[in-house]
Amino acid sequence: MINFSFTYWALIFTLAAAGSAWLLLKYYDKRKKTITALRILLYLLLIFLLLQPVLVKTVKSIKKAPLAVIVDVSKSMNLKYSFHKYSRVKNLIKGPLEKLRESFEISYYAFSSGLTRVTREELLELDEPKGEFTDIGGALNRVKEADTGSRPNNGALLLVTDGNHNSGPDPVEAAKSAGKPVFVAGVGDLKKGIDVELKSVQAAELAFRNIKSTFTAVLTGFNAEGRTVRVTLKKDGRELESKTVVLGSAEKEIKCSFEYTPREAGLLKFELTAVPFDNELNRQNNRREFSVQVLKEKIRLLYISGSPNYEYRFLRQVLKNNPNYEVVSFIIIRGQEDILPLPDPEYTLIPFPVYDIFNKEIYNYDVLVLENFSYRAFIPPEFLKNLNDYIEKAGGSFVMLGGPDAFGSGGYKNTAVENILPVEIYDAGVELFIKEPFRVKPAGHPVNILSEVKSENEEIWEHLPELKGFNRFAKAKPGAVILGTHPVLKGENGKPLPITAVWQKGKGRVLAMAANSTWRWSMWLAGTGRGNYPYGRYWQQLFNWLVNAPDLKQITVAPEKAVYRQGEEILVQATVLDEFYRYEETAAVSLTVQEPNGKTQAANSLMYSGNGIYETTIPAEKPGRYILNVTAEKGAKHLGAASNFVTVNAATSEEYDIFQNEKVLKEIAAVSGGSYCDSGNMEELVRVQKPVREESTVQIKEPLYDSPLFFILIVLLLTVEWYLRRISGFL
Amino acid sequence: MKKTFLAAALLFLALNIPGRDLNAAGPGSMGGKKTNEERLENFVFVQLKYSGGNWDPNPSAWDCFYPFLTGITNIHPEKMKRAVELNNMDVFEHPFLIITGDSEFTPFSAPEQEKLKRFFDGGGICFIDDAGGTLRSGFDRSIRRELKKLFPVQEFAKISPEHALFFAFHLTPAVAGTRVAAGYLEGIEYNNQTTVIYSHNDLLGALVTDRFGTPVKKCAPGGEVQRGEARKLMVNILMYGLTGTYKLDAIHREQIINRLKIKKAPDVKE
Repeated sequence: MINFSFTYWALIFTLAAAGSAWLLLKYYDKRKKTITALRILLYLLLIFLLLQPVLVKTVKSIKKAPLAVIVDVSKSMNLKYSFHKYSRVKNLIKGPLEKLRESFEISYYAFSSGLTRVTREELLELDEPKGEFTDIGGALNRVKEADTGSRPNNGALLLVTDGNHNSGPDPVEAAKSAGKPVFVAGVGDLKKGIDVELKSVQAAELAFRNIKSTFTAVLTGFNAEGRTVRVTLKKDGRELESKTVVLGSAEKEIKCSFEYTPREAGLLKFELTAVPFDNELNRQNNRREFSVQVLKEKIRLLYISGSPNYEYRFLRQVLKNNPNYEVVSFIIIRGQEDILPLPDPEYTLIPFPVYDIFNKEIYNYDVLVLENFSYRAFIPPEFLKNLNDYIEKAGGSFVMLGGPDAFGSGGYKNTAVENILPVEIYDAGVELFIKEPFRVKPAGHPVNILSEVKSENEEIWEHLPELKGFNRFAKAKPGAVILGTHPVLKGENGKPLPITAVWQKGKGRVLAMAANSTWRWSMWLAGTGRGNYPYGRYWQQLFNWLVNAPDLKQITVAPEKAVYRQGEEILVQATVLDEFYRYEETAAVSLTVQEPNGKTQAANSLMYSGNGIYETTIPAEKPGRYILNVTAEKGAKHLGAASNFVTVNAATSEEYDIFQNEKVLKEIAAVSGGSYCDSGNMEELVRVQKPVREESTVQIKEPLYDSPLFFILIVLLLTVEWYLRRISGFL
Repeated sequence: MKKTFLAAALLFLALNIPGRDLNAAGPGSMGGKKTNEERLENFVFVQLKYSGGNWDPNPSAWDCFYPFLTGITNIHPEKMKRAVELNNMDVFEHPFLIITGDSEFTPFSAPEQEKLKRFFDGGGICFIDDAGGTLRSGFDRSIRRELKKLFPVQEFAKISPEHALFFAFHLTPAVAGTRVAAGYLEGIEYNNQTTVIYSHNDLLGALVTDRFGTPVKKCAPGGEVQRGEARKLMVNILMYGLTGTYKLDAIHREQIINRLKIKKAPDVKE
């Protein structure tokens, strides 16, 4: 069959041919007729060629079915028990797979944590597979994507692996959705002796100091059903506890749990080991290391109030709404002169455990609040001396809130507490508790920021209601940071009278606030329809500052994940805020990294990615702890520095997976409609796997106008015509 | 009005004493013992004055209760009770509000509802006492109607005997007033606290005495024992208003459990 394509040139030559035909009829001379006929023939030939004639042929084709051979090149393929696994793979490629080429169109892929198209020769040239992971699920998914588009539902996959999948999606699920049968060539010895494997450790990455944590070893035993194995928990190489468990069948996971209460904060390293049997096949899979980041437990706050009052109730509500705080309180709900008419059991009054609190318990709290509380009736003055150690050496925080029984009015002049306070106070009987209402004048300090919008922040402070009453301090001590002052009154030094002041005292921080009626802010803010959020925010920020919570640090650095695996890229993010806690967008932020081996990497710069965040990536090449140190500068100004760390876990079990995981491989084959055979018996696979041939009808198009025959014919016609004209004298 | 004028006059005098201003107040300027006035700082008995009905059926209840409260607790209340209305910002000065009555009252206007809602949003707690001493009274209908508007999602629920309120000062006082229409208190939970506490038993009525201290209203059916329980409960409610749930802190729990055991133990025969 010949197909044509239309062109306007053909019309022109048709007209020319028609004109020539007309002349042919007109001429009576024989030679003229011959010449005209030759010209007509030439035109017809040109018309034919201009219509681009194509010869279409229909033929039948038989195509080989595609076979994607996916070869595992992870480290475990480099292991040897009775034979070297990857050498077996090479023999497979050279031998049985060569035979398959007769029936299949074979394409090769190599996989570990990713999948790459390779040639047969590249696989044969590879001596030592070094892939860090075995991601069979990911490889099956990716080969499907790579194949999609041509013939997704044709052909088959041949998976050549030891089956020790240790990364990525579930291989059995991936095989289910492969859309093609997966034939599996299992590589590696099958287990025949006894083997106990500590498959995984179940432990939270984060734990809290003084709060019990549970670590669970998940064990399986091969050919060890009913045998007893001893499991030990070690910390820094020292055995903490050991237990014995009875192993089940090969598939049955046995759990062995240990409880441990960390007493220190920081990154703690542990090790769980299933003590190997004498004749155990593989001893390397009996042990796992893991680390736990131990944080300080909840921020514990001890609140002692001199009387029942709203300041306590409102502050308690703020703190109770924050899950990071745990509040324990004592309120003097009965005065010493009060008479109780009923017997003791009728009341819920409990003795105030002064000795225990001020000599022992205090160190278990992060913050001590004394609100309108005079120690005189309850605490021997010598007990107050412990507060110095609690704050300056143990890093505790101390808050004294005002009231008629606080500060000098509470008798704290000439006591150990006076030394701790950031303000100078007067003697009892001298210091005034002035009941006159006043509006606090805030200083520029992060804890006073009640809205990110500066104008709104100012508006909130302007509209906060007056506080009722304050203790009149003498003045702020040198080194104190004033957070709020009286709008009118002055201290002894002529400066505005401090109402709220803080300072760092040794390792601890101290807040002195001359009033105890800030609850009015909550009520009034709600009353104006604004909502009482700024009240809660103010106190949260104040307490966060006191306990040095990360929320109030200008520079922070953190990895995107607490734990990485060897070979991954660690994303390091630093947040930089200016002194008003707004995003700092133009800082120069640099990172130095101390590697697990103690070597320090050269500093690299972090790029700004928006919202005050600067980031970079570093490779997690070695297992262990990477210490991240970040510094931020703006011009010549040093904005600050921050440190953090990230844990990199050793890659996988690739180092010791010497056997073949036959079970998984058989499942993969079964769910996908393929079949499994051991790599030592590949002939069987060749026999079982019948070639799938594809018959198809194909149309082949041969363009006729390209043929040189037509060119010769045209030249010939023109030559003959020229010759006739010449001998006839028509030239 | 008189009070405001008096306060202004005192302030004026204080600021105009020759040779002394507040800035000059320092050592020795105003020494000496704390006065009672300095101590009156932590509580005001505030009742809501509303339209229609009877907003104050037991007008002398607070005066009678004041000596009892100050005699046994460390609460330092103002001696005079106050009444607030919802047409100004006064209600936001006092985070504990008492609403009482014995009959139906006029619904709150929309701005009044908004004020009361904001009062709760700010952290306010309200004690409601049905002075009729019955269930499903006219006052009860009005209260439920108004609170439903404020809390369309939350419902009144019986307050558990294990609620902090029953341990705030006295150990598990019985729920009573001049009547025992309901042996329980009802409450509404909002903003992580029991924001509304509702008694049906004319609790304030049980506090009323004449000027010789003789109870005015008879308590039935429990007589003076019932009155004693009512007083104890009132102390606990006020204490809860000032301290919240602190008695549920773990550190208090063991002692309270021990006392509960003692209280519930049968008398030992001699």
